[in-house]
Amino acid sequence: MENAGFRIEKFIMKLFIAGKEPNSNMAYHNLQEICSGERGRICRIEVVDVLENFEEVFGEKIVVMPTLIIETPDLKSKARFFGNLEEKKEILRYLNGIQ
Amino acid sequence: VIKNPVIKNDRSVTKSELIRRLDEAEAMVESLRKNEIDAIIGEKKVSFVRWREVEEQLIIARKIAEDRASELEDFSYSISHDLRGPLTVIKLCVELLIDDYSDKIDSTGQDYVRRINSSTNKMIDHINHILNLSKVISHELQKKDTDLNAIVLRTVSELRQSDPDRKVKVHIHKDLTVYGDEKLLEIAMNNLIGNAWKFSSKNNQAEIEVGKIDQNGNPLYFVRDNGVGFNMNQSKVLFNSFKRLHPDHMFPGSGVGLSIIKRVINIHGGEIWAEGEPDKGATFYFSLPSRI
Repeated sequence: MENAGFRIEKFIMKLFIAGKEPNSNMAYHNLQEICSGERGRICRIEVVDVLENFEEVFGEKIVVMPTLIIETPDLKSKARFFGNLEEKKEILRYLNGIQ
Repeated sequence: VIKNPVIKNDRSVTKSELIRRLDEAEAMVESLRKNEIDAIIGEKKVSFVRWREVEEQLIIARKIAEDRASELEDFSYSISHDLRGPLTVIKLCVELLIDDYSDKIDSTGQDYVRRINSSTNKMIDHINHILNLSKVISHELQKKDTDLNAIVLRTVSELRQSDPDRKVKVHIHKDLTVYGDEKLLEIAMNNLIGNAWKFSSKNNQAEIEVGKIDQNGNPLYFVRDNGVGFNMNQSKVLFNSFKRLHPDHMFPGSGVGLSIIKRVINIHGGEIWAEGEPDKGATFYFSLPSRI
């Protein structure tokens, strides 16, 4: 039986955006959709606005915004996705492959 | 403290890692291509990319320009069309005056009637030119192999019929088949050769040559006359609508002809330019892309 409060983090979704630019907004919206429902329990979303938090981009070698980095807590897998994340299929395929 | 990432010559990268990086780079380029990127980081700066915005503005600007152009076409078409109706009536009445009432009008009156007649003819001619121009603007290209020789021969024989007193030597090269819209090319050649015919009228030994030369392996067509020519510093304004280089009493015309020719050649993807010298003549060169 499912426990609604049960939460285990399997993915850390780090989204790098540029302020309120249209693609950044769309990427955030799409990421929320991807992490909704069942998947919400295993995903943690972190949003980094590079206009406010520029230092972060150096650690991750970010080149374009929006960029989404998906990591597992054990740091064994890491993937990058670019753009407004309109193509959710690719991300979902990746998530399903890791699980 | 921000440290620049150290670039190492990393030789230990595995093949699979390289492939992964390549895939990433491709994905990044793809999202750039699809205008899904807002900003790029480089040189410690965030540069905004607003292609979508620029593109949208371009689309709007293009739409406005197209609307204006088509309004203008409609406008010039309807104006010319509406003017032609009453003008035809005037022309008819003037002709009736000449035919049936000449004996009832004194010579001064007859002179007035003749002037009305010639001005009316001129105006009809101008309006037909403007109508032609708006037709050329809104015409859809239908390209096929087109025999320029035949068009030129037709044009010249029409000119000879309408102006039987003129003796003009016309030399036409063989094999002038081009790939283009026959109707439009006929309009253009009519205008080009009509010009050569008109502007060589002060020369007793007028000659017109229509032919083709080779320019870097591509055919370059030309229409040459030994008429009044023009000053090369006016070669740029030559093709503007309603631009006249010569006074109307010397060479009547509307000034629309060359802009029609230019339009026809340009929508075929070709270029047109002219070379001339006062009292020596003019040569109009034009290119037409061959069938791909």
